[in-house]
Order: sequence, then C-alpha cells, then structure tokens
Amino acid sequence: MQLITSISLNYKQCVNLFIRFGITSATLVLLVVFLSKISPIDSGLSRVGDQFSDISYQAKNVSLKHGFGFSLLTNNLVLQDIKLAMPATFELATAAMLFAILIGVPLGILAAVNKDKLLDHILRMLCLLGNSVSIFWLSLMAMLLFYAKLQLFPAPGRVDIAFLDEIAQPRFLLISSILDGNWPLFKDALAHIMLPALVLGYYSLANISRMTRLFVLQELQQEYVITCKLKGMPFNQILRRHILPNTAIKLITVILLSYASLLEGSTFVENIFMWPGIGLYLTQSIMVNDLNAILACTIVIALIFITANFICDALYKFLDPRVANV
Amino acid sequence: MIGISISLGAFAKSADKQTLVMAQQIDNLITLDPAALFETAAQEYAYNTYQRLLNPHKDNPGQFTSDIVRTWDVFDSGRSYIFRLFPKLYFASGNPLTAHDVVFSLRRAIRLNKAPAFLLTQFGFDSQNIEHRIIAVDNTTVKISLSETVAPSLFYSCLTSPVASIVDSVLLQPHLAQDHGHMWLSKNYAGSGPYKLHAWQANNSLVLVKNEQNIQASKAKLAKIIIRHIKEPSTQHLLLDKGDIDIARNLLSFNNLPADTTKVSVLRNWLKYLALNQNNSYLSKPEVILAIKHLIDYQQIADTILRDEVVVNQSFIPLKVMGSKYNDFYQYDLIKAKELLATAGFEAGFSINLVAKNLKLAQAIQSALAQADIKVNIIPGDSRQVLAKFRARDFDMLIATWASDYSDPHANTVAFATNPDNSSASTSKTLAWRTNWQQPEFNIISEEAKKELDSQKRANLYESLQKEFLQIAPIIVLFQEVETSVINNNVSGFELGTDSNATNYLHISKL
Repeated sequence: MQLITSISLNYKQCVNLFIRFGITSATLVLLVVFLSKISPIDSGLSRVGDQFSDISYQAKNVSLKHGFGFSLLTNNLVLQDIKLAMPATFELATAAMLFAILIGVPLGILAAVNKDKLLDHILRMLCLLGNSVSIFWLSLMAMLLFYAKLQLFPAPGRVDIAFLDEIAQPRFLLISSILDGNWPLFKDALAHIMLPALVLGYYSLANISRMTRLFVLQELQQEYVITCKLKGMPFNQILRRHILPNTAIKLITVILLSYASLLEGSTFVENIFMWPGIGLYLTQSIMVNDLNAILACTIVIALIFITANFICDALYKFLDPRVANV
Repeated sequence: MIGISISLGAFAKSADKQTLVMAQQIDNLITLDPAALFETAAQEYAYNTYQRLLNPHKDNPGQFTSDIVRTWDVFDSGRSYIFRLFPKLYFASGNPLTAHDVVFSLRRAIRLNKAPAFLLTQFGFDSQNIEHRIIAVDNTTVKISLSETVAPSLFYSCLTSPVASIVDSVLLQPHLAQDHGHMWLSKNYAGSGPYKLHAWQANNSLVLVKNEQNIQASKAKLAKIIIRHIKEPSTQHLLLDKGDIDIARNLLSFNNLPADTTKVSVLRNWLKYLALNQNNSYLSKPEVILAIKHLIDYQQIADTILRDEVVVNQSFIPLKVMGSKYNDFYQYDLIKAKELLATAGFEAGFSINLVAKNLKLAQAIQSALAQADIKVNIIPGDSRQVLAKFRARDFDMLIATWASDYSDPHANTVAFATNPDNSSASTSKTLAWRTNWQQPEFNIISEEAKKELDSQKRANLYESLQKEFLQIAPIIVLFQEVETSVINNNVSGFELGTDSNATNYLHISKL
C-alpha cells in the first residue's frame, strides 16, 4: 500500500476528470429538460378541481431558475423540498451502507476462504435471498414481523409524533442530536432508523458480500499469493497485507455505486417506512404529475450517480498505479 | 441491532389523553389560505381553525347556527343581509375580531379570486362593487347587499364555506402588499377557530393545538391534534391495530377491522353518476336512455361490490339536502328495458365505449348492459384522464363523481340540469353541457328556484325539477357516497360531516 499511495494525480489528469464530469452532467441536464419539455403531461389538470369555467390554472413552467420552480405537491420551492428530503435519505442510506459493509465484507471473505464448503453455500443462499427477493416485499415483511408482531421497533416514520417539530428543518438528526446533547431525540431517531436501515442494508449486503467473495477468490489465484504461501507466510498475514489491499480498490467501486443506488433506490423502503426522503418525495410527485419536482429529483439522483462514478475514477487513479497514467 | 432496539425503549407511545393522532390522506392540502383552499382535507382544516359568519346546522338541512353572530336578518326581498356579531370576540393572536375583519375577509376572498371565489362572486360581487356592497356599519354590524334577490338559505350556505372564513386583518396587514397576503397565509395562520395551527409539513403532518382565545375551545377535551399523512390503507390499519393512531380516515377496503375499534360513517354529498353523450346516435334515443336506467340493478350493486361505500340515490340532490326526493325512482326491470330497446330498433344491441376510473362500477355497468346485448368496452383512466375526456366531450358513456360545492339544492341543480349555452364557446361547462344536453326550461326553473324566498315553494320547485330530470335526463345518478372512518374505542365524540367542512374536532375526547 505504501507504494500505491505514494503516487498521486497530476494536474492534467485532474483537469481531464473535471471536464468529463462537466460534460456528462451538462448533457444529462439538457436531456432531462428536453424530455420534460416534450412530455404531453398536463401538470395543471392534476391540481385543479372540477369546475365549469375553463381551467385558468397555469402550471408554473418547468424552469431551472428559482430552484426548479414550485412543487404542485407542497407549494414550496422544489429545491427547498429537496433540501429537506436529502438529509433524511442520506442518513438512511449511510446507516444502511455501514451495516452492509460491516457485515457484507467479512461474510464475503469468509465465503471465499471457505469456497465450496457448507459455510459458503449457506452464505450464498442468504445473500441470494437478499438480492432476489423484492425489497418492497422484504420491507413489508420486516414491518409485519418486527413492528406489528414482535414490537421490537417503533411505528414507521423518521421520528415519534412527539418530535415532529424536529424534522421541519433539513438536518441530520442522529448527528445534530448528539451535538446538541438531545439524547431523547437521538434515542428516538436511532430506534426509527434501524429497521429501514436493516432492510435496505440487507439488500446491499448481498451484492457487497458476493463481490467481495469474487474479488478475494481472484486474488487467491494470483501468483503473488502462491509466492507468499511458498515463502511460508501465515494465511492471515497474506490476507491482511496483500489480498485485502488489492481487493479494496475494486471493492470501493462496488461500495460507492451501491451507496449511490441506495440514495436513489430506497424509494420502496421510504414509501413503506414513511421515511420523508427523496424517494418518497419523488413517488408522490409522480402520482400528481408534478413535472418540476420530477425533473429536479431526476437531475439530483443522476448527479449523485455521476459524482459517485467520478469519485470512483479519481480513487482508482489515486490508488492504482496501473491506471494512474491512463 | 434488535438488542439495541429493545434497550432503547424510546418508542413508547407518546400520545396521551390530551393528544389525538389521526391518519389521513392530506396530500391534497397544498395551501392553508382559507380563501384559496378547496380540497377536502383543506376544508376540514379551515372548518376547525377558522370561524365563519354561519355554520350549517348538523341535523336540519337548510338551517344555520353561528358561534360569532348574535342575529342575522334579511331585508329588501332577499337582497340585503345584516349580521350582528357578539362583542368581545378574539383571534388566536389576541387581536379583537370585529365587523371590519369580516368585511376585510370577504372582500379579500373576492379580490384574490382563487378557485373557491365563485361561491361568493355568483351573487354579483366584483372587486369594484364590494366597496359598497360589503360594509361594516359599526364594530359589530356587517351589512351585505346583493345585486339580485336570492333565497336566503342559498346565500347562507355559501357563507358557511371555508372561502368565507374570517381572517385577522391586523395580523395580515404587513403581508398584503403583493398578493393580498396569499403566500403568507398559505403557510401561516390568522384565525379564531377552536383549534389553531401549530405546524404544517406539506405531505407529512399537520398539527393543531387548542386556541385558548376561542370561547368554544373551553369545552374542548383535546389539547393537540396530530394529523399524519398516511396514504396506504394497509399502513393505517397496522398503525390503528398497534395503537399508534387513534383514528384511521381511509380504511374503507378492510372488512377485518382491528380489535377494539368502531366504524363511524356518514353520507357525504358526493354523487356517482353515468353520463350518456347525446352526440352518440344510440344514446340520444330517449328509449335507450330509459332502457339503460332500467337495466341497472342499483340496490344489488350497492349491497355487493360497493358495499359500505355507497347508498342508492338516483336524484341529483343529495339525501338530507333540502328538496331531495325520488331517490329510488327506477327499479331494475329487464323485460321493460328490452321492450324499450326493441321500440328504438336496437333489439340486437349495439357496441359502446365507457370511460371510467372506478373499474368495479364500470364492470357492473358492463354486465348490466350486456343483458340486453349492449356490448360495453371499458376505457380505464385515472381521474385526470377521465375529467379531460369529459370536459372535451370526448366519450360515449362515462362514470364520474360529483362533489357538491355547498349544501344547497342550487349547487347540484346548476351542475346537473342547467346548460345555458351548448356551444363549444360556453363559459359554463356544466355536466349537462359536457353531455351535450340542453333543456331550456330547466335553466328557467333553476333561476326561479334560486330566487324563491319561500322555503316550501322553493323545495317544491326542486322536487318537480328532479322528477322531470329523472324521466328524460341522459345523466343517470346512481349512488351517494358514504364516508367511513375507523376509530379506536377509547375515542368518542368524533363527528364526520356531510361536507368535509363540517367534520368537527371540538367534541372529541380520549379515555
């Protein structure tokens, strides 16, 4: 690792990366705006009641000015709504990701080391279950079992009704409640985030552990590992000092893209657990044909993906000397 | 993780006896300005947080009560009205509520001219004439003059709407410059009702607290009412079962209710009807219209597929509204229907399209008409698509729902029976216009009934109009909707209103 980190990106590569980021983002924004302009959806009709006179309601035009215009759903500026929703989504996705990494990576290593043994089969089955079962169904079942039957977790929502005022402003509840020393709020927020984070985390865990297993197996077949073994190096040491650092580079891509998809793909979980994040906001906006909000959410989500890809690229170049000069 | 969750113990239910938690679809609540809101959840909010000159009487249709007006009188053959307010009324802000606030509020609603403003402007008010037609004689007396004679109960009905809510003119003063304070009042509160706004997060929750300045509020048992936006009936069911909510407002589709809960139902002024476009050569035949009316087994549909959701009502005036009669005029009669179709020359039937959102009902109509070999092709659509086709007169048959704007027979008479101008340039695209149907004498009777001062005579006019309408109209009113809420057995005093602007929180208590 010492060798790898000593190589850093040069100025030219940085500029190149940023230019690519800029061009991709601009193309995306233009494409989404163009598609929404040619869409035949009449946003106005969705918000006007049944009246005898001709509909006078003019849907405020889709616009990139003034924070994407107003939302038909909330009557707020769309950007303001997104600002309020993003911390909730980030918090949930981060909690889910932490769970997925902490459990998924060790499980993947364990499966690789025990390749084709019983443990490997059991872990494979568990992971396949997480990846193949619909997250919608998984969320419902989790809620039925852990909330309705066992009552181990609180009712869906980001906080209890006693703390509703606390989520009126955009904020990261877990962090800010610790900083404020507001322990009742912290306990409540933590209790509420756990079940959706577990469900969402299980979904990503499956992918992360499968990929970890694959990467570790690939490394195990490399000549440097055989050399180490011949030298008589203990396996734990080979794993820790050689295999894991080499696997980490590839794993970062998987983790970052999984994280990005959690930021967007938590739509079902947010709907079922009534989590006031961007997934819930987007679904509700689609239901009322709210073009301004749909446009804004699409751009925000796509930008998250582009940024994740951009960070992956940068990290690759930073960490892997073989692609540093490409 | 589960271990941690148990040790946290943070999710003990925090709602006490003073706090009511209600699950309701409140995504149609997009503004809190009473002069602009028009959606069901919004009207309910305005009803409980603002006061109006008059309120509808709970049990006697056509009668009114008031919390703030001592006496109200009509003069000048139904053209002038005088309202005398109680002294010492206050807004939640502490500012006194006077006749000047009433005048300010009514004028503001007319000037703002949002969707519900027609409820007031239909009496001839405009932004110029309100200066002398709506005036404060002194601090407690309001005088309103109309441009023409109108049945007092019709005018009073419109004054019970949220659009006529009284807002705090002093509080609103700094925000008036741009848009009569609409943007500010869309998210803030300036009322005097028994409950006042504590917090609103669009699409998430609405929290009301008791308004200590309101005299009626002294009777209120609840200090706080939390309305959570929960769209899914299954989630409402689960939360009610676990005691996390006290009232579930949208649980219609469940037969198995959670233990220790009770259903509370009320007829609301929403009618389901089948419109037959008179542009269609089959449907314009009077015998075909009559045959279709006899082909539908109204009671059976109400007892089976729409059980607990509707009751049979074939008249365009809702049950319990003044003048409502002939609610089961037509009976299912297959033989008669077939005879009528044979007379029209269609014994072999024909094929026709039906636009509908409610597919259960559409399928029932489809199988009803199939008995007489009328082949119905259902074109499903969401409410927006159905409404767009209806307004464009682009349909053969169409199923829709009509919600009365206020509890006076005039509201639905205008909608169902009148069509002053059948041209595409018409400014009044009523349901009759959309169906391409015009009955000139109905326009005249409707105007006559609107101006009739004698209540009995007025009711008679509406009754005869309904009878004639039932015989010839190509708009077949089928059912009236029932609204159902499920409440926890420890909750009492919850009153659902026939209009959403009469659902009252004041008497709710929790054990």
